[in-house]
Amino acid sequence: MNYHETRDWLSPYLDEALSADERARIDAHLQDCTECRGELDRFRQTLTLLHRLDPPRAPVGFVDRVLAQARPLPWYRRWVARVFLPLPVKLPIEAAALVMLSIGAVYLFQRTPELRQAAREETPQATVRSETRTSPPPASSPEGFRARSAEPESDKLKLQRKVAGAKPPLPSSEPVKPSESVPAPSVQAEAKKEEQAAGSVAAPRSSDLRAPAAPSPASPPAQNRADVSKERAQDSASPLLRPSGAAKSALGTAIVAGRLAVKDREAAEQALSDLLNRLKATELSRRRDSTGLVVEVLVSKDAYPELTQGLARIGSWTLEAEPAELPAQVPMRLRLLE
Amino acid sequence: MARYGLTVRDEAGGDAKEFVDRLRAGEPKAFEELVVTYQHRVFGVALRMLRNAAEAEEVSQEAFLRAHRALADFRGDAKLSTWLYAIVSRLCLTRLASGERRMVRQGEEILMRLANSEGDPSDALERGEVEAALHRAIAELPEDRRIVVVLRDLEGLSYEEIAQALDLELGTVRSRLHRARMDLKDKMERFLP
Repeated sequence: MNYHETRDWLSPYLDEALSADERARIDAHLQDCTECRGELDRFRQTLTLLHRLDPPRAPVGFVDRVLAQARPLPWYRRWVARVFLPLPVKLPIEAAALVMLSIGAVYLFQRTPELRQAAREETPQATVRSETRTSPPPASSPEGFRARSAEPESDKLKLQRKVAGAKPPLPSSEPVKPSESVPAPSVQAEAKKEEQAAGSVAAPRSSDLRAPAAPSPASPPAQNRADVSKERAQDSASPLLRPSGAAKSALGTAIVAGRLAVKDREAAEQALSDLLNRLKATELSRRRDSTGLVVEVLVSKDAYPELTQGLARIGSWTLEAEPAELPAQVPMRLRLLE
Repeated sequence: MARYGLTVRDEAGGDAKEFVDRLRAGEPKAFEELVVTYQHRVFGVALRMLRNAAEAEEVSQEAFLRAHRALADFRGDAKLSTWLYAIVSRLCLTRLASGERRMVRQGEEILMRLANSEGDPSDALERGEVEAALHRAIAELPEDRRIVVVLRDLEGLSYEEIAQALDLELGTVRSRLHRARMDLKDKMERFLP
């Protein structure tokens, strides 16, 4: 073994990682070569330095941290971590998905008449009751008058059909609760309108056009039934107050309807405005249709007679519908014809 | 093994079968014993290789967690210590080869400059000039030679165990170790008597 070969084997020689034969050959060379012996010494001293190095120690708490990570989490924490973590990534995505889902559901509901129909059919009784109790702010209030006037005709008719199907008219002798026996006034009026359109010959009752009085909690059901019967009797006794079919269709939810024939429409409009101002009546709407100018007003019961007299002075005033009893605030629909 | 002053189960030439069985059965207490026993050695390899304590802890934890997940499949072909050294060595080499190390390497250079500041009395007092030079010399070794020196001269593994842990031929281990020691000897020449 020569000088170079020996040097290549010095490292395993020091580690005693050579076979006996290899070791014997190196020993033989080292006995004769001082340079290789010096090299071997330097190797040995280098290893001595290496072995003197202090071994690093793991930081305090290392074991606890490893065990904490290795310990299986409870199922609920694993579930939370899977669903929500990392929060900055998953939470915005989930929120956005929820918002989009909500928007989609609302859009779908609004765009699908069948769904809305189904939702109504599931609770027809509740619909009627809520209509009776809460909605119509009484027709005597401007809000109620306007709201019902603006209600789409098709929806009203659908509602009428459902109400008629869900709750047929009850015999007067049958004791029922007021809210069940007397549907919402606007609903009744619309139902009558539908009957007229179908060619029914039955005369409408003026009670159907009566202003919906807010249900009085103090009045018992029996009293209510008595009022209804009384009104029906009055209605049948005064056929003159029944609105004609045309008047009814134009009437909508107004409880007093009439026609004012004038020669000079512009002058009549001005005179009407002055009259309404003088009587402190509220003009709710003014619009033109194929038949003429339609003005909806709200006038107090006290000023009502004076208003009709003033109308008679402006032109030829024809009363088309008027209830037996007037509410405190009387809704009117005037049709101005030239 | 005795360097750490711990009771090492495989010191006598093999792991206690009962202990390995407990580990393979997933007994938490057995795993805790494993971590307690090998924490310093696994961390030592990571620190010598990565030269960054935070990164070394991260890699050491990952090594134990991987071992925890794979314990059920541990067949006992190698000693537990060799198996753990293999895991942490591969993790270190992978990390050193990855781009994530760029920033840390800059940190290493700063550490090396600190170790190089021979005129700094505080450094000399704290670590000693020879030790600082030795750390620097080890850090300057190529990674494939450094891991062999660390496992052999600092952790005391045999050639066969190193070959098994790093999945190398025995001759490759021998030659890499020889070249690494030659480098260290040359760099430490002025400190040798």
